[in-house]
Formats: sequence, C-alpha cells, structure tokens
Amino acid sequence: MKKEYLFYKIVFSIFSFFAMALVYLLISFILYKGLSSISVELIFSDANIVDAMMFKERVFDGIFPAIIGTLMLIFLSLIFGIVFGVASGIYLSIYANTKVKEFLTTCFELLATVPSIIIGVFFLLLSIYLHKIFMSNFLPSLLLSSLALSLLILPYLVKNTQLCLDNIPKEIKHLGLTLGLNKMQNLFYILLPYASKELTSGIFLALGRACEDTAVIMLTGAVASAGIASSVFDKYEALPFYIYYISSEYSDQAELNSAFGAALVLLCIAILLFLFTSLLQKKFRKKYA
Amino acid sequence: MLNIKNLSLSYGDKHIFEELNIEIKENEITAIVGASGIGKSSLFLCINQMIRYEKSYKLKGEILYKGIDLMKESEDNLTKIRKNIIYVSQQPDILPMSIYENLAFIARIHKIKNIDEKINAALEKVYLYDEIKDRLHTDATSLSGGQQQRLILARALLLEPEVLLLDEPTASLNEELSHKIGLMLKEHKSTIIIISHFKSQVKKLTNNVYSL
Ligand SMILES: Nc1ncnc2c1ncn2[C@@H]1O[C@H](COP(=O)(O)OP(=O)(O)OP(=O)(O)O)[C@@H](O)[C@H]1O
Ligand SMILES: [Mg+2]
Repeated sequence: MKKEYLFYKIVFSIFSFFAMALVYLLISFILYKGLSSISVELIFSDANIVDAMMFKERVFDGIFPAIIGTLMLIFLSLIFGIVFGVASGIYLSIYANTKVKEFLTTCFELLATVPSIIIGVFFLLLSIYLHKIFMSNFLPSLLLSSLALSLLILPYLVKNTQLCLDNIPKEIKHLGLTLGLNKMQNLFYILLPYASKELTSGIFLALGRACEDTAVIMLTGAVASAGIASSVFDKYEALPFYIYYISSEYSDQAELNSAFGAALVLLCIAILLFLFTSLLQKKFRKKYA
Repeated sequence: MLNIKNLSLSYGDKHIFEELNIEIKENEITAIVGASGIGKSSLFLCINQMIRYEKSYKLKGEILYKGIDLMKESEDNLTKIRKNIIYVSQQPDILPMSIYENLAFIARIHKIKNIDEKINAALEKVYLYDEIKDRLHTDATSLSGGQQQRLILARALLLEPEVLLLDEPTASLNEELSHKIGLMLKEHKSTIIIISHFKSQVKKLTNNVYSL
C-alpha cells in the first residue's frame, strides 16, 4: 500500500514537473526575446504618444492599434458571450426540460469540437451571403469577429454556467421560492450571486481563449494595417494576427523580434485579464459578504 | 385556516403517508410528531407546494388554505401565497454573506419598512441579538449550527407570515434555549405548525398534536 502510494506520488510529480517546466520555459523564452524588443517605438512607432493615446494621431508600424483592437475584441466577445453563453446556460439549468436539455447539451458538445478555422470560414461565408442579400455594410469587421469568437467560446460558457447553477446545493436552489420570490427573483437575487465566483472565472478563462485565437479573426476582419476601428463595422488590427503575420513574412531579425514584443504584450493582456477577474471575484465576495 | 383532507403522498412506489386529515386552527400552534423518515418534512413540502420541485412524487387529496386548494393553484399564485406560509427548514439554508445581509436581502425584496429595527427585533426574539450584535456584518456561515438555525427562524419572523412551518427549529439547541424559544412561539401571534420527534417536547407548547 505504502509502496504503491510512493510510486504514484513519484509518477505524478514527474509529470507535473514536466508540465511546469514547459510553462516556465515558454514564459521565460517570450520574456527573454520580448523584453529586448519592447519599447515605446514598438508600440507607437514615431507617433506622438499623447496624441496617439487620445486617438488623435494614427499610428503606423506600431502595435498600438493592434492592442486597442484586441481589447475591443475582448470587450465585445465578453458582451456576446454573456448574452448568448450565460443565458443559454441559465436556460439549460433552470428552465429546460430533460429532453431539450439532452438535445442542446449534445449540440454544444459538438460545437466544442469544431476547429476554430471552420468557425472562421463559416462566418466569412455568412458575411458574404448576408452582404449580397440583405445588408450592404455587413462585411468582415470587428462585429463579425467578435460574434465568431463568442461562438467559439460558447460551449465553454454554456457548460460552465450550467455546471455552476447545477452544483448549487438543493436547499439553496429553491430558497428564494420558499421565501416567496418568483423564479426570476430567485435567479437574480440568490442563484447568480451564489455562483458568481465560479461564473466570472469561467467567463474570463473563456475570454482568455478568445483573445489569442488567430484562425477566426484572420478570416473575419483582422487585417495588417487598418488602424484603430472607428466603428464595429470596420476592419481592425489585433495582436495575435500581428504576431502571425510578422512571423510568417519577416525580412530581418529585428522585425521578428517585434513579433516577440507583441507576444509579450498579448501575454500581459492575458495576465491583466486574469488579475481583473480575481479582483472582480474579491469585490463580488465582499459585496455578497 | 389550513385544512388538509385525505392527503396521500408517495415517491415513486414508496408510500409515505395515506389519507391524512389535519385541521390547523388560526393563531394556534399545531404540532406534528413522528419517527425519523416517516414523512414530516415531506408534509411541509406539500403544504407550501415545494413538493412540485421534487422528482417522481404522487400527491392526492386537498390542501385548503383560506378555502382555496393549494394543489390546484398556479405557480404564480403560489409565489404570493408562499410569502405568507414561510417554511423554516431542518437544515439551516443560510447564504454565504453577512448575518445582517442574510436577513436584509429578503426584507428589501419584499419592501419591508424600517428594516434595521425589524432585524434587531427578530434577532432579539430568537435570543441571538446579544450573541452577535457586534459582528452583524461578518460571515453568517461561520455561525454555529444552533445559531444558524435561530438565524433562519429570525428570517422567517421578519417576514411576518400568516403561517410558520417550523421543521424541528430547536433540534440543535440546548434545553434552556429550546424552552425560551418555545415560550416565544407560544406568545407569537400567528399560525404555527411545528415538527418534532418527541411528543413530550411539544406537550408544553400545544394540545393540537398530530402523530404521523
Ligand atoms: N425527493 C424524494 N424522493 C424520494 N424519496 C424521498 C424524497 N424526499 C424524501 N424521501 C423519503 O421519504 C421519507 C420521508 O422523508 P422526510 O424527510 O419527510 O422524513 P422526516 O419525517 O422529516 O424525517 P426526519 O425526522 O429524519 O427529518 C424518507 O424515507 C425519505 O427517504
Ligand atoms: Mg424532516
């Protein structure tokens, strides 16, 4: 018994050590390559920083528009993700009957297996179709990309929301109803606050996945030099696409290094997203405590 | 005020009780006694119709509340009725927020006025106020079992329902506290149905005793 325990302990330690070593290597590699190339020039090129930050001056050659583009993408996907994903999860957990539940759960699981490039192609074709038939301004754009990204992360959001709500203990689940609240009040005053911590974690983990996806956005509106989108119907720049674009067509080492700089910035955005989540969770807990 | 007629309940093939007849008098205490697992808590679920959220139950008979049959009411109407028939469950179902907030949130939703005063009064009634007055804004989940049980009793009292369904409200309290809470309930002016394991315990409270 004891020997067996020791054996598994060693095996698991070795595997987890390898996993951690990989993460460590990856991050230190990006830090090493990225730090040396990160500079004001990389971000703003030769534009005036203050003017650029106020969106008065357009930045050419810098990654500033790509940073803003990525942030806008995250923001819009967050909205669509909450609207579609969280709402579907709530529906599945609380309102759907068993048959509908089984059917939709299978659908979402299927959707989770669809590669992101296919989602990109689908949205590209959809936009061409819609552009021809209904709306002349429905072209690859920030809006289209964020819709596509929210579809990409939809299965995770739905599953997470559903699990969070399903896992609420039985006596809490119906507490509001026994106190004379209707189903809607029970949901908003008791169930969602009760599950808020797990819900926000799930949403931001999924967003992290969305903000680094390249396949979807390069087909649905991300381009190399669009500047900052002035509306959601514009084309835009984004960091993952910038990195992909540079590393596939660089002409010298300096150019490749700027891709590493952009990668570091993207990593920082992901980390900020993570920090923001934990901050939000603490706030939720405080408000709810 | 509350009339239970020929009520039969089963879960799947398992009969819990059959042809139950109980008459609850207004503003009096009625006690339900019986062994563990006999179906006392289930009877409460029938009365506030939360049984609708259980799986594979079968319910027959009538539950007349002020003349209307609760079993035939729509869920919308029941929402309003449940505000007046508050169920205090056996396991304290407090939320992971402060003691104060556990009471205040529901008072706010039901638009109760003078919340702070009423909360203090409710806590006084269950003999909790002195124990926790300087930590009202700390986490309620760190209260002891008996304190939690009294907290949810206070939550029910705060809503001033016409009927209180108390499922072993004093199960985890010592004798002295049980006695004091018993006296408080006796003086409380509303219809109370109380579940207990032992006849001897409820004899002091009421003569209306039904055993399942
Ligand atoms: N949802 C359900 N599905 C199936 N059986 C159930 C369900 N709820 C309760 N039961 C069963 O019904 C019986 C009565 O349960 P109930 O909780 O009403 O007993 P009780 O009299 O309150 O017991 P105690 O004094 O221990 O609280 C038990 O045997 C229990 O296992
Ligand atoms: Mg019980």
